[in-house]
This record gives sequence, C-alpha cells and structure tokens, in this order.
Amino acid sequence: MGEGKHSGELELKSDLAHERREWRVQRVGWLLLAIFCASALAGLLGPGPLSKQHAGKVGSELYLEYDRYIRKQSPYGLKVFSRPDATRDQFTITLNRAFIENVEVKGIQPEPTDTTAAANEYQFHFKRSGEGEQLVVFHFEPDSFGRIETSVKLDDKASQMIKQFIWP
Amino acid sequence: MESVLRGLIVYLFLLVVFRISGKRTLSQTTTFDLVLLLIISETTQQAMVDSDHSITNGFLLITTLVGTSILLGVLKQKFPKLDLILEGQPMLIVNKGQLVREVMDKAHVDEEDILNAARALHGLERMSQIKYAILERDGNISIVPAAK
Repeated sequence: MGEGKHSGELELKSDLAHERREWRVQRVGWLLLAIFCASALAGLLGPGPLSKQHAGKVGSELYLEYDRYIRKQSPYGLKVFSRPDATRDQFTITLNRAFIENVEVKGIQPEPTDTTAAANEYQFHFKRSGEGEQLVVFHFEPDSFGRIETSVKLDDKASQMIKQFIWP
Repeated sequence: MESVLRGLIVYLFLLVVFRISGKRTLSQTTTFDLVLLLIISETTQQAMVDSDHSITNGFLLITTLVGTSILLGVLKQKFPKLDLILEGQPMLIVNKGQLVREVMDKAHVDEEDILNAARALHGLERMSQIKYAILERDGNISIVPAAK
C-alpha cells in the first residue's frame, strides 16, 4: 500500500501525498462527469439542440428533419417533407438497404400502400393526399451502433443524404 | 459476447464513478441514499440486460460481474498499488486530539460527523475525548478515545 507512514503509536498505513494526488484525480473526474452530462443536455449524446439537423431547403421537393446523434434501441423519427409530382396520385420514398439493416422500423405515418425491396434499397409507396407538401414520418429504433449514412429519395426526382451517429 | 462486454463496461463505469465520487458518498445510507441506490440499480439493470431477458443472458451477466470481482480481488492482493488505487487508504482526520482540516475539507467530513461517530461507537461527549479519528476506506469513521 505505497510507503506506509505511521502516526505515533497508531499503526495506520496512510500516505498524504498519495491522497493529495487522488483528490486531484477526483476533481478531474468530477469535471469529466459534468462534461458528460452537459454533452447529453446539449444533444451530443442523443436528441437535443445540437443534434437537430435538416437536409434540403424548406419547401423544396424533398426536405428532411432528423437527429444527428441517436442511441441504440432508442426510438427516433425521420420526418420526410416532400412535394411529389402533382399529376400522379402516388409517390415513392426510397431508403437504402444499409439503413434498413441497421434499424428496426417501428412504424410509418401515414401507412404506405405498398413496400417493395429492390437490390440495394427499400421503396415505400404512399397515396398522395391533396395538393402541396406531403409529410411522412418514419419511426425507427437502431439495433447497431456507429456511423450510418442514409440516402432518401423521392420518386426519381430528388434525393438527400443524411449522416448520423448511433451511440451504443 | 455482447453480454460479457456489457457487464464489464457497466462494472468498470460504476467502479470509476463511485471511486471519483469520494469515500463518503454512500458510506452512511440515509433514506434518500437508499432510494438513490435503488434507482441506480434499476438503471444499471436496464443498461446491462438490454432486451435479452433469457436465463442464459442473466447467468452470463452474473458470472461476468462475480468473475470480475474475484479477478480484481486477486489482482489487488498481488499488486498493492492497484489496491491503493481502487480502494483508497484510511486517512487520519483527528491526530492526537487535533483536527486535520486539509483531509476533512477534501473528504467532506465535518466535526459533527466525527462527534456523531464518537457518540455512536464509544458514547463520547466531547472532541477532547477523541485521540484519533480515522476515515476508513469504506467511508466510515472509526474513533480511538483518549485515555481517561
């Protein structure tokens, strides 16, 4: 136990120099815990102000809202705002297969009329409701962790790429 | 494999957090500390078990936690330095009747804590009746009374 230092007749192995070093380490540890909590509040360890991201321009053909930092097995949503072709009553949103393999789809609002799987992508077909912007929300739960890149396409006219980090 | 890693990571995280939180954090369990312990155990359980509620996973986690504890026990005995780092050391907070303010301040111990321990352990009434007080590794205070 380091260099034992006895105090008078009391047999006690105790080293004040080591204790002082330990207090310094303890204070650094407190600081790290505070940084850890602050990062979570800021949204660096999951959804929060710094985590909010978007792809595309508001009102454009394809605009996405998502969280940049998400956590494994925590629910999150990907909002897809789209302006599909007004001459057709259906539109298709396509997600790449790598994304689907890394997450579990918990729900889609509104429900797609059909889902098809192609070689490297999944296509979700929706019925267009009225004129103008359509909103589709995908509810996911990641079942792996690490970086993930997802391409989101609207029919064959627009596409966006989103990058996310999944914490374990 | 993931179960073992989860168990190890949670064990090490708790070890570090409780080590840097100081000796006194959960040494004397108040009602609120008990509630805090229950919340921590519930949170820990969720982080470790994840969505796998199988008996195998439960056995794996228990084995990992107990195994790590045994391994650290053996290592601490073999390497006294590791024991010092992981468990800390007892510190004098009253030396021959004199308060050691530096240690008391850093360890968040005040005179009332020392008198409390003196009353509970030896029925002492005053600080002058205490020869030595030691903040033990587990956060408890032990008292050596002054000779009458």
